[in-house]
Amino acid sequence: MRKWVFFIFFWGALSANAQQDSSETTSWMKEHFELNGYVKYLASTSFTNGDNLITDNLIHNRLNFKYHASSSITAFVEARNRVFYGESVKMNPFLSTQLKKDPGLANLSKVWIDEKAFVLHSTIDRAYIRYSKGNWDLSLGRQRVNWGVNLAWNPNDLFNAYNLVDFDYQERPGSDALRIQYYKNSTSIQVAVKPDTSLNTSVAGLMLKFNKFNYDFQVLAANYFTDYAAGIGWAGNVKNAGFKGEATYFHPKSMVADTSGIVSASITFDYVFNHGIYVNIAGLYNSNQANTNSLPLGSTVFGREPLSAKNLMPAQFTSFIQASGAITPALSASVAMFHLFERDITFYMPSLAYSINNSWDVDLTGQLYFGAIENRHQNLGNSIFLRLRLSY
Amino acid sequence: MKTLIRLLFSTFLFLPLSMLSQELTAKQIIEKADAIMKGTNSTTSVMKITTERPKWSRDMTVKSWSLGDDLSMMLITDPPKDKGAAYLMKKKEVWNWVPSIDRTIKMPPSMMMQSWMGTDLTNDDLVKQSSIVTDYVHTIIGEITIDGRLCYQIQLIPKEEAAVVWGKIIVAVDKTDFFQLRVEYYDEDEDLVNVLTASDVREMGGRKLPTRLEVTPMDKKGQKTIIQYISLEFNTGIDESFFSVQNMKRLK
Repeated sequence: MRKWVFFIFFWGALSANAQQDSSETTSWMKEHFELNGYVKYLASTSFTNGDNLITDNLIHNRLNFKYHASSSITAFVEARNRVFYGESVKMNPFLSTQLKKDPGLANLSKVWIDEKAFVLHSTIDRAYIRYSKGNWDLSLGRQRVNWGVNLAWNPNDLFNAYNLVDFDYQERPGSDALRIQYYKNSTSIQVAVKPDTSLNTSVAGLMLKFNKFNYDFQVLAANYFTDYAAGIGWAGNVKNAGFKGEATYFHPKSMVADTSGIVSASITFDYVFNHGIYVNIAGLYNSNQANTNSLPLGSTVFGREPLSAKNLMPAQFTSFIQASGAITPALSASVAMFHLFERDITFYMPSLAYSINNSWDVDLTGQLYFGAIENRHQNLGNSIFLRLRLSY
Repeated sequence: MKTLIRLLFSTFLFLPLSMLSQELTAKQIIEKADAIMKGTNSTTSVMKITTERPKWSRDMTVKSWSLGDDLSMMLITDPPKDKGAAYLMKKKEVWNWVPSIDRTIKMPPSMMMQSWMGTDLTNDDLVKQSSIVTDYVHTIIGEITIDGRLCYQIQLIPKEEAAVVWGKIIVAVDKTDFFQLRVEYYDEDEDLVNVLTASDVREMGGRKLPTRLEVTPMDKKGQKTIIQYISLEFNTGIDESFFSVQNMKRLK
């Protein structure tokens, strides 16, 4: 474990040195190495009413390394180091246990300090080698395999389904996988395998992508844990609006002949109005009624249960609408709303983002939940996040 | 931007026109300027794009590749926040590669008319297919001196059937080198909307050409976008297969 940390800091130090002197080594370094990332400070407050405020702090550092070994081989290592402190850390004795869990084949997660109200955690969420030659791309290791098309929900994203609510980790955890892609003109075929001890704990899929009638299409077939999965997705337009969709059908392997399958499907329209106001409207259907009431909604970005392509929302029907635009060149605003129909829960996520300069950004995000409890519509919880980000 | 690049390129290659003994018609001048660009096959450039606002300004460095009219690709190399983001334009389709989430996003057509990354350039500028030769009727309306260079002043009025956004364009074309030094874009009510100026003539990529372009929207005070070429290469030999969704991820 120590070794990789040493590796990171060693290369980090080398890269830092590389920027200072101007020898031949420097140009070699510049040619072969890339380092970037960010440091973020996220302060959050959660409350249902004024008397019960819970505050939290998160310092989050991300390092992205790239090593171009040759024109066809590139190695990627990306790490995130996080410091959690505050009341909800104190209130969640399982935080460090949750953080220690690494869902991959190798354990690349480490809790360095585990105090009652202070936790320091590091994880490597990307560590892979990519070989690209001609029409072929091959990647092996911990990587993000992103098969999604839509902004809000991705039923096709079997490897790394993400949740817009979790706005502070858009990179998502990587999958320990092998991916082989072959491209010919605007058609491609790829095989991705996230192996585990048995097929029922693995994901392995085949995806065909092609462009026809100015639409991008994708078709997939997969072994998805205990299910067989088949899906389609597209991205195109109707007049000037973007029109995208994805659907995946999951069928349990143990009951091949029956109708116990589940459909997860999402459709999106997006449009940019004058003055750059972007609107995205989407709907999600999930036929899995049994699960609709059992999944937690997840009201905070800390310690959330990961969601899956099969269960993107704890409801059968969910709608999504987002509007965003720039108020001034440096200040932009966005409002997103989710509505879970059967559960009659509405979730609002307004945010304001200000770009201080090319390196510094600050944003303020709110998350507000409303729903019916004992037939009375009421506020279920709120969180406010203030985030400062330095990119380098 | 592609239009801008084309405007700029249209002035390249043009040999000193000592062989021209007779007066050129307005159409011929525009044609000559434009034809040269069409003859150019591939180009690679690095440019710094500065967006200026009354109390704010932002720099961005972009590497771009193009082949003919239909294919181009751009990679943002600075600022770090946007580094690695790439755009692929194929005819009227546009894709955006977002490295942090490992995804290629197909952009909706309505996004085309909007500002590209906060600049005064629209996405449509990047992929515009209208031609200053075939979509307009040309008339020489006078002469003007810009930066000490004597220029033809040519008026372009769109043909009725042409799908163009402008009501009128007035171009100042340098009489010797055929650089388009100033282009005025008017809307359908004949109000001046945008002014493009080209300056800082230098040798780059083995050619003499204006290396600084400025786009100034007339209705927005204190606002403009500056494109400064850092390097330019011509006929680099890249072929059609370079312009693919796959290759966006490999750009360096």
